Amino acid sequence: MKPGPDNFLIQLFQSPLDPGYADAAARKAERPAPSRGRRLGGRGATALACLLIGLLFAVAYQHAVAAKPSTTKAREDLVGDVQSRRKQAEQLQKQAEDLRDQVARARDNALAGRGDAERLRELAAGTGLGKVTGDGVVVTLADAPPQIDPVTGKPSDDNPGVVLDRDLQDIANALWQAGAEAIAINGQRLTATSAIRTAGGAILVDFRPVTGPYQIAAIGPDQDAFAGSGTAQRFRRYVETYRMQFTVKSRKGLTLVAAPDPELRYAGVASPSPSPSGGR
Amino acid sequence: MFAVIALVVGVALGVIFRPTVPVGLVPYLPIAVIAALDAVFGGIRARLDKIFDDKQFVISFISNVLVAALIVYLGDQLGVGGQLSTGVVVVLGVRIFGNVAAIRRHLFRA
Amino acid sequence: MRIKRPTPGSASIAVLLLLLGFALVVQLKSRNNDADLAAARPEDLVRILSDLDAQQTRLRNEINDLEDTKRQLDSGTQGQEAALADARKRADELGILAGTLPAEGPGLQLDFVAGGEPVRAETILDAVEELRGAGAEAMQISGAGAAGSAPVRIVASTYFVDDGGGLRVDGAVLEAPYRVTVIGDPQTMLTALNIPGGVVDTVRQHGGTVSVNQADPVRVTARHAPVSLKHARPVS
Repeated sequence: MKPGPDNFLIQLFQSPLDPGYADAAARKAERPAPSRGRRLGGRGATALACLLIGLLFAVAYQHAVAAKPSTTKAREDLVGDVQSRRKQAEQLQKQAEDLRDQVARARDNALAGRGDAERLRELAAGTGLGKVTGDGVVVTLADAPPQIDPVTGKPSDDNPGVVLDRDLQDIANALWQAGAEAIAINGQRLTATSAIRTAGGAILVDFRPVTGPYQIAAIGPDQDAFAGSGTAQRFRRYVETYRMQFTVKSRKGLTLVAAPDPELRYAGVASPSPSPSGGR
Repeated sequence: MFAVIALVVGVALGVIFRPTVPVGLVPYLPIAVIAALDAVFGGIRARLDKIFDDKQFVISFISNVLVAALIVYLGDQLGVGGQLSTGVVVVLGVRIFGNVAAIRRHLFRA
Repeated sequence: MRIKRPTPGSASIAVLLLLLGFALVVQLKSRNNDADLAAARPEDLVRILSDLDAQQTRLRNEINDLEDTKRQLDSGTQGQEAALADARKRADELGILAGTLPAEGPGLQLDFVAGGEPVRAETILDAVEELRGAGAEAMQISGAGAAGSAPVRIVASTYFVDDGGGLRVDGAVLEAPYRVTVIGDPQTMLTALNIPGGVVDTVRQHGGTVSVNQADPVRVTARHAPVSLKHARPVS
């Protein structure tokens, strides 16, 4: 037989059984039957070996599975907590939206027959406080995948392709410039009082945390104008340079929910001023 | 049949008594389990092929576990522990698959 | 092609493939959902938890308020009056937010004076977002004093773009220095502007200055034309 690694691998795959068994069987065929004592001894040794194997299985299971290091357990508990709270938050959000719709309807009913209701609705829709639907664009932005440090094999901590709050600000800005009439980021509607800022490592839109991938939905922008805008070009460059993810898709029938009512605590309607007020 | 009973008794003893393993040996437990599995499946297949031999079984079990642990230990000392243990797992895994396939042929004629 | 009667063998193959497909989809979905959690460190998870808690508290408060309002609106003639008062209050609020009504209240006046480099649109955008985060309720921006640079009301849809050496805000071109008038809690906004790395810092790094004056009352009188929705339709 040809010696060498080729042979070993072929043998490995073709005959996984220890050749020792075949040899032992051949030897047994030649010699006379072994004495009872030897046979029992052999059986005993096998039984002992099996006992040890069973013990090994049980001990290994305990050490590997049952006694997981407490940090892993704690982390799994945390992850479970986060998931259940997220579900709760989603339910509450849905409840709040339903209530908002009901209140809007109750308002309309109470004011039925007056032109106010219609005017109010249009005004609310334009400022982000009314639910709207229409055709538009969805811009999806996601962090670049973390770069693996080739030396340690672990993901490196700083990632230049991470989405920052100003990226979302810039995209919203460019969408408004392209004629958007309503914008929502991950479902959070933008109003005159909603801020996009970073706090503690997370991006908050209107004080609500949003996580990637970020979906910026806009109704009404001119898709070509946006795609050709400086901002869109810049982000396409980021895709090449930092492997950030940036896609622009047109979508029909987008529905953007209303933002919660902001309470204006400092601003009140101004009494008419004596000097002419500018305006556009 | 002794063997199977002994296996079950071993598992039960391990569960009841919960022996503590010295911390230094804990990383070698998984590789020892796979080596033991290889010996067990080899023994079962030999049984089905009707060429089972006690001495061979015991020796293959002990030597598999010792050699596998030794190779991984050596690898740890040399700094290539992860890779060597991967290699050992691959070889043992291939053998286990081969033996299980033969056992399957015996049992299911498939 | 005639369809053969399914044999038990092909039926079990079909079932196994079905299970495989199902398992694949479930695995992919769970990986997608948990990808961000799987990569998060314990400190991040704790922070996410506290964010979620704060969000829940806000949502619960909002739900309570909404239920109160709904009860008021639903209750008969009292409901009518309540509805009218509510509508008036809402119209005022919406007017201020949409920029169709002038507003006044306590607030700040910020003057952005360019230094070596012109004040860029992104700086103003940053300042606007920072102010919004600090509770700004109404804002306007005006350019160098002269005819033709009437103040522009800043609403949700206001955009800021560099235009030569100046600034284009909602289509109107303004020239430096810019004055931003904002109504809100003066203290909170002042703190937010002065944080290290904040607006005042950034402008100073580019060679300019931001001078902040507190005034009470501050008047935001620029008006924004009422929006006419061409693509979006209100839905109730």
